[in-house]
Amino acid sequence: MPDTSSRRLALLETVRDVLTEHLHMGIERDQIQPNTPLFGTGLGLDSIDAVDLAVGLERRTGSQLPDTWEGRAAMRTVNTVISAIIAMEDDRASDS
Amino acid sequence: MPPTPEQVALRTGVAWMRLEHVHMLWVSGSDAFDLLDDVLPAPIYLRPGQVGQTFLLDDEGRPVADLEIVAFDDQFLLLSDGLSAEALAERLLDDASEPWTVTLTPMNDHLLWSTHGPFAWEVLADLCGDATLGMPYLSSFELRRWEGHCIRAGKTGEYGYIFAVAPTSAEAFLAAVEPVLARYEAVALSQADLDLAALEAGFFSIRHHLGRVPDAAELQLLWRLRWDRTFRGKEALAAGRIASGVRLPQVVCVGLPALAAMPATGCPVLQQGKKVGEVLYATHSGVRGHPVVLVQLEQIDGWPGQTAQIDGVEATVLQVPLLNNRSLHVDLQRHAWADRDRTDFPPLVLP
Repeated sequence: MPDTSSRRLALLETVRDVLTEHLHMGIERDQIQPNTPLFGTGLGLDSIDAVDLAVGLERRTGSQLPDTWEGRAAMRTVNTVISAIIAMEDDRASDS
Repeated sequence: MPPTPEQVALRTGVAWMRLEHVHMLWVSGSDAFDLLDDVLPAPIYLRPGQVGQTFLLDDEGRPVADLEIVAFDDQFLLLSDGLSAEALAERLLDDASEPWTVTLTPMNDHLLWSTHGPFAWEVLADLCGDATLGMPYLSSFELRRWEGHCIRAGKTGEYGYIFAVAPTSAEAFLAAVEPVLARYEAVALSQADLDLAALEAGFFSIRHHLGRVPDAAELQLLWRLRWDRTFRGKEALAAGRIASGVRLPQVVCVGLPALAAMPATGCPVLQQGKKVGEVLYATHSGVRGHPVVLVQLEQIDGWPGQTAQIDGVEATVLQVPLLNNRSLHVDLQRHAWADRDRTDFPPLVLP
């Protein structure tokens, strides 16, 4: 498995892909940074965007963010999304 | 060190503060939009009632004022943290590319009062009615009982409402607020409390960088600007390290063991004996129960979980926001301040 930094960088690019291509955000990629908030301030996503983001991420990573408070907490910044996906990937790897 | 009553109120109940460190400037005149569109790093295509966030940078690309822009039909109210109203007015006129027809009016005589917390929305409902509860984050409405406006904003990660009240209404407003605050056992916050809350919530605060202010890219604030605009500090940012594309976290928040001494600003951050950064700002998060430190890293990445050494103790990069804010989990239909201790909320600090 790649080291943490490589995995995080790859997932950062994936999140950028989803936000710019799937959600069609008119924003340059380098404006989407690890600690950028997703909702309210920051990228200003709304609840519909949240669903689109979750679907886009699931398609590209195979990880489904749960519809629980953990899922809500995971959707706060780009970095929290990345951490949640890594945790789910690690869980799957340890189960298999 | 346990959390203070102020921190507990802010994170689990209701807190309040007069925002004496925030300054208001009213921008009016036929070219009010053009002036702000000319000078600010972010577009201000706001509908009346909407609130935008941006900042002003210095020539080195470092933030000098954290701005909230409240839009009205053809006028704007600017809330500035970092520059006085007079300095902000001077800066706007200095940076303008044309002599726009505007009137810039400092509103230093107005009361700027705020309430914060996972149940601060109950204060809003008591003061302004239940119909106001639907107001989205970063929006505003005109007060009916008093002359002024209410703005849903804040940097704590909790529900937050700012009341900008005209001097003629200030006394009556404060008289109305007093029994409401007593009802919710609301606690007064200091500026230090609010700044700590901003740090815990991952918001930029100029007071976290009193010694050395990193640029907007190092602070990961590029989402607050648009590269297709012209603004002061843009050239310095563009010429900096962001030019290479992917940028790793450079200013990060690290946690120290609970009993570790607070490191001084400028203290080196080491990895395998080699200096990889330095301390910008250190404080104690009572809710987390340990010191939290903003550090600027050089040449290494700062992903959550990475470790380094500060003053001989292990420092771990934390994930921002530092708290699992209760406001994220409070449902206005199901929860209430009165039941706050009987409700099974998720923990404030996640492992």
